Amino acid sequence: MPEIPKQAESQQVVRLKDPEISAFLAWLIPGLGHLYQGRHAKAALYFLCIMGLFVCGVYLGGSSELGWGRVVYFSWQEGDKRLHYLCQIGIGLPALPALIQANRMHNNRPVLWNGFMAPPRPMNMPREAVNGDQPTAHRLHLELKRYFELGQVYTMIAGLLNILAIYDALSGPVTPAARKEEEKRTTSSADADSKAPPPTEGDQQKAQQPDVKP
Amino acid sequence: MRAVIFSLNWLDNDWWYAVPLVIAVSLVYAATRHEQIVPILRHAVRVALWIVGFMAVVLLVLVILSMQIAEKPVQPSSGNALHQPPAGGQM
Repeated sequence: MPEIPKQAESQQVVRLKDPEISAFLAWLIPGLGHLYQGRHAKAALYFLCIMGLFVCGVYLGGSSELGWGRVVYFSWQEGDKRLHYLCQIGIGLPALPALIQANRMHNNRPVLWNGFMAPPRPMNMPREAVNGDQPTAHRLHLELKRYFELGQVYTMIAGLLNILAIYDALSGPVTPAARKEEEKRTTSSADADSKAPPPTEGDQQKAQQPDVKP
Repeated sequence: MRAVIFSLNWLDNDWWYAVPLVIAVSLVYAATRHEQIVPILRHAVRVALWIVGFMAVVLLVLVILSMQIAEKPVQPSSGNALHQPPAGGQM
């Protein structure tokens, strides 16, 4: 796939290496797509912010007794259609264990990892069943109190923020309309200048330097 | 609820849970607008201030509304036929 140069702020060209692959990697692990593109600072920033938020949410929405990550689970049963997971899956791989656990719960196989990201036991499931030792949604809310909601909000916002990061890996920084117009004007004036004599080597070096204010 | 949200003990305050959210949201939003770290940080500070200001305005509106609702005495309903005296005196 060809690299797509994108004119970003202060005349600096951002090379978006393999945008589609980078977007997939950015979805898989926050910041991985940017790391692949060589945008290391942004990769670190995205990873720390998004993964930090997600890990905080997983910690808040669980306990050593109930199991960790109880706020991230997938369920599509009557009375518990888990739409929150649509936001949480935006973070990619870190939220995928929930799908494995939901599949195991659905097929009456014991859930793994001490119930990590496992869906709560349905109210109609007897205690003698395979996953009968899992807590119900009622018990999760009762014991975790407001931390269940907080963990839910943290993990959902982390997933939604990663969608912004995926877009950034795919298309580069969002250019405001004013800056776009400025770029258009610059391009049109550059076209007009193309009839003028070619710039010297010194002028080219000046143009390539990013205009960063201290 | 009031004890948790407006606790006098500043460590025991639920508002602290908004801080990581505001930091992460403002940094990620700013990072989608710029490529270099310095402009990202500058933009993130502006976004964070905007979010905090917006939340403060919403909080103020909600506090004023809740105070008005709390001060309004509950009027007994006059249209209840069970509590009306019989029209012709004694039955």
